[in-house]
Amino acid sequence: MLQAYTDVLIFLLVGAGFVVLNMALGRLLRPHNPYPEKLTPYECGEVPVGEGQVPFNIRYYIFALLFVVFDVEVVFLFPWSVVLRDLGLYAFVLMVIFLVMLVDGLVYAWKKGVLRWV
Amino acid sequence: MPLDGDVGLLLPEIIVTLAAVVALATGLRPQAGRAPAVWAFLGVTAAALLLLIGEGRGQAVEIWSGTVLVDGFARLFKLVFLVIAGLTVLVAADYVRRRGIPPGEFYLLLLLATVGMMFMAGSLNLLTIYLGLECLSLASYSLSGLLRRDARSTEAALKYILIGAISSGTILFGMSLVFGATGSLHLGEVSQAVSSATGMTPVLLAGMMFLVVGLGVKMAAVPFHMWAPDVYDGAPAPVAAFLITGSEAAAFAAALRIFLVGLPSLRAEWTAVFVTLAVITMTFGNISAIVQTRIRRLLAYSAVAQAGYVMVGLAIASDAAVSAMLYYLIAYAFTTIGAFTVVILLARHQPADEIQDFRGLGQRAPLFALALTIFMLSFIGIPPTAGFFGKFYLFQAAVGAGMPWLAVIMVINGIISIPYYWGVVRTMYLSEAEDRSPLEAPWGLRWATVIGLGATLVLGLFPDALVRVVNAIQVVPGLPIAF
Amino acid sequence: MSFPVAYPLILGAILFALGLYGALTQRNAIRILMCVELMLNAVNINLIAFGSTLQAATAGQLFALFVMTVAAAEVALALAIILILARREKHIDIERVNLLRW
Repeated sequence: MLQAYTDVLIFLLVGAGFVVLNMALGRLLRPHNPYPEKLTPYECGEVPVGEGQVPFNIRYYIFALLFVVFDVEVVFLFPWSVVLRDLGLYAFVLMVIFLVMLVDGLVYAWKKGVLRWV
Repeated sequence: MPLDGDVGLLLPEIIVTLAAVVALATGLRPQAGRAPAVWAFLGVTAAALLLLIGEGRGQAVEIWSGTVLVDGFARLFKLVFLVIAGLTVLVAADYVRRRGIPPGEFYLLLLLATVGMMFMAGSLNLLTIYLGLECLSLASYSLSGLLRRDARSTEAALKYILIGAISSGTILFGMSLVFGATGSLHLGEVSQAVSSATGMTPVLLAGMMFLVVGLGVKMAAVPFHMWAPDVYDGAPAPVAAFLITGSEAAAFAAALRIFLVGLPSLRAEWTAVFVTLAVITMTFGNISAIVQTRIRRLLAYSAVAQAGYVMVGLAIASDAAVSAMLYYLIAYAFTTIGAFTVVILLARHQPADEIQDFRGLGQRAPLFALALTIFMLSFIGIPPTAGFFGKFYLFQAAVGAGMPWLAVIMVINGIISIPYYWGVVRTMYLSEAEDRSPLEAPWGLRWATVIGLGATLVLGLFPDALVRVVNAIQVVPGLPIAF
Repeated sequence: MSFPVAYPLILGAILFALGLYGALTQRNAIRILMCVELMLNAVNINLIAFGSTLQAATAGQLFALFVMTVAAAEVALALAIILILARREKHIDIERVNLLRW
């Protein structure tokens, strides 16, 4: 019964080995030539500004909260989409009602000005 | 799962949900005025009327692949929840406007909490019960924190959601164990599987204990009651009244279904646990209430004590005990909302946090003071009030089940409770107020008091009508398990 | 490929115990939430493990999906309440939130 996990173990080893092998090869083969520009963190080509660890603005959290809720509700869409063909219009209407309820909340937040970046 | 006539049986829930959405939308306009409250009240009333005169009365029907059950038990509880929600709207209309609570949000959350309760009572499926419970809980957490500028309200909401989340995790773990031991989420099949299988008993017992603890938190049973006084004290007053009555009744409804329908073969075990919890809960609640100086904390601990009495019914779980429990929950709901109405009325004019603030209420608002006196009598259980018969039927059930000592403990607890309830009445009549201006009551508060008082007295004077109703209620629906 | 259902159950029980212990002992509100998440995920492991051995596999998996979404909503709400607290009090230590006692 545990032998079934041998495959998993082999996969793990091969996966880890692949990475280690290639990193080692790269290190052995590449020329070693560090200079300051190369050592700075990459920020989309811009010159980096300030520290890497700054406290996030508290206003981001509102968006994060709204996003999390909507993001996870999508979980219901996957099983629904799989069986939609068999269930037909009924399931479609139910899901539309569900989504309308969700959007309802979003519209309320929007109208209340929660989404505005003050 | 085609579309069939089943939607008609769910119409009350659908109406309440729609009313909630409409209330939210009308609350958006800057000059919302009374519109959200009116919509919420209309929705609740329509749903209640539909339950009274709608289709399918007197039968038990299971719809939507066995996830929703409509029977007498569900109907009665739904009606009770709707009445509680309606009274809360009456009480809250003035409060919400004065305190600057966004009306759309308040009524949306209130009605969604009600829908959650309705699903808790109206299902034999663990998944539906869980979803109803979460619908209720999430809405109540937000409701408790709606006074955003009030530190006490935020604190209440924080404590409520942290403890509530732990308790729903516990309930879920119990449900997962029951599901694993029996292979079904449907309580009817669970009970069949339990009676035939033998090997899984330890898992099942563990699941039962997790369920007892998790639901115990929701019922505010000692020692899982820590959140209750804080929430009932810190939350907006109408919300506190709603939670004490509705949320607790819903927890008991779900517990009755889970233990009586799903786990009747573990009866000896859960009876022992609930008897212990009941005795601890009522004694601790009453003793803690004696030392309180804040009126809402007193009512909160009194609520804990009352939960203990109701739990006696759950522990005995005979037909008579269940009827007594239902009677008690209904009587207690009217009395509690009535008592909170008077507190809210006084809080309109002056700080009304301390019991001392009630000095001289007998002169300032004689009718409301009289009403509060009668509510206090009902809490103690003195005739001719509803509370008397609530306790009386529970005594009868305890004696009938061969546990007279339990009835004795209840009587002792009743005597312990007299001083603190009576202290409030004494303060109202025997102490002089500095401010003697009469209190004027908005019509919502007036009607809520009248209804609370009327129901308390009618149930106390003519208990027979309601007794006939609750006696006809069966927790275990006599329906074939069809799948 | 089958294995005894006891393995994931033991994992679930350990996770649940860890989460419960953390939720009851931590003082930081966010950490309590993380511990509650641990408890809920223990439940999910249980549901799916039981579901895999029973006829009622779909019921277990469906329940797990609902638990996930409800947990997300619960956490979002809790974070919102903690945010209100953090804005006013500048801390999220629940032992210092004690206006209401006795």
